[in-house]
Amino acid sequence: MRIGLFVTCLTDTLFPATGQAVVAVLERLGHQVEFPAAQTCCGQMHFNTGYRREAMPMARGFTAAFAGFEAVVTPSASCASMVREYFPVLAAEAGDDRLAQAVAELAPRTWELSVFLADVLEVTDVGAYFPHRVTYHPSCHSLRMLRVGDAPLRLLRAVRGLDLADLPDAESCCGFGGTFSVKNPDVSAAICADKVTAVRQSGAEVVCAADNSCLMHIGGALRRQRSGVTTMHLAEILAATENTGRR
Amino acid sequence: MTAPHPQMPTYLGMPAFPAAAAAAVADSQLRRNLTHATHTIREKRAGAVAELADWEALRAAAKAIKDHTLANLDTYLLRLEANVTRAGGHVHWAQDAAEANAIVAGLVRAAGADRVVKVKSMTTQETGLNEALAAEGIDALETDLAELIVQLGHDRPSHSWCPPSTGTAPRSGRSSGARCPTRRPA
Repeated sequence: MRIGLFVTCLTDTLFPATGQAVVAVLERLGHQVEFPAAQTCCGQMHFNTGYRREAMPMARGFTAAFAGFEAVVTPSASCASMVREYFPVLAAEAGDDRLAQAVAELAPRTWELSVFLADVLEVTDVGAYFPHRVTYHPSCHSLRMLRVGDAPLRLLRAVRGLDLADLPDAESCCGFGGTFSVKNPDVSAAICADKVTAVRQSGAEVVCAADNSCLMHIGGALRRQRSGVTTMHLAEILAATENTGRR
Repeated sequence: MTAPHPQMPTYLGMPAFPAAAAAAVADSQLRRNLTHATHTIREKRAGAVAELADWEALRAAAKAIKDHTLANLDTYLLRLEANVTRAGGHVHWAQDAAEANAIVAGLVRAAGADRVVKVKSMTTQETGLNEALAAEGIDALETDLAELIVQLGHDRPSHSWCPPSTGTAPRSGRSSGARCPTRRPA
């Protein structure tokens, strides 16, 4: 399958190893992955902060950059939600029939990585080896909006050597919330404190998620506590083999 | 919008949420209490959710009913009035908070009372009924325990169905002790 990698702005600028991991996993499964260089941020940050008009060029740019791919895969449940759930809203609000048509064609083919692997390709064992105790944080957009269900857990359970730890109160938000963390830093940090307590209670060495945004937030608190618990995107765990070190 | 009572803290004019939250999240006892309350509520919710296979469909149906009702209030309010009247009740209509409060004050006075107990109601919280009654010389006392704690603490409810959720036990205890014994009938 010819797949377009939608890397997302946050992963591109702060966590490029995640993008490389997505490519490694998909190529290992025999797919051809391309990276259209014209891609930009999906506009979620603008949309969620009330700048809907400013998000429009990014929605248009997305449909132009990824037109023609059989599937668009992204290591972000949050950004996949933006494309699948809110691009149609944006197009309808703007009364832009051309964009609405382009979104109707592309949005259903835009997938968050774990859903693409487990539900579209129907692969749970991606050939990964990761001999560590890992817990999984179901990010809000993956859980409540995209409803990825247990796709990430099915993938993690199939990783050789991996010891999957239950995360107490897993379904609680980590407190990041995009620009919420900037506008309400104290509440954001307080929510994160509870999440980090749960992560440490799980006994995991590594906490993973389908969104680097949450991991950035959780990781910031874990590092300041000198907890020794690290954050890793799900894709990087799935990309790990006997021949790769842990970061 | 009624003018806020001078002795009551108001929603308008409170510090912006991020500033108010900065002080609240620094309160360790409050954080502990809220963690406990949240877990209790979530466990109860999980138990209720587990009883039903189609709870999400039920939730969607309930939302649709509420949305439909709100979009057709002109029909449903008149139907409600007809049914209440048929059952022997009387429905008062008010254009705004001031008129609603004046109707209640009039009813209390018509009963020859200067003291009234009231049930928990977020609507009367928003219309400032207790303050309006006080301005008319009528003493209103909340009957709902949680609402009473808020009232005795000269506070405002911080949650629609758990009004004192940002109060802490020592504060509530002090305020209850300070005011309850003084409120015996004369």
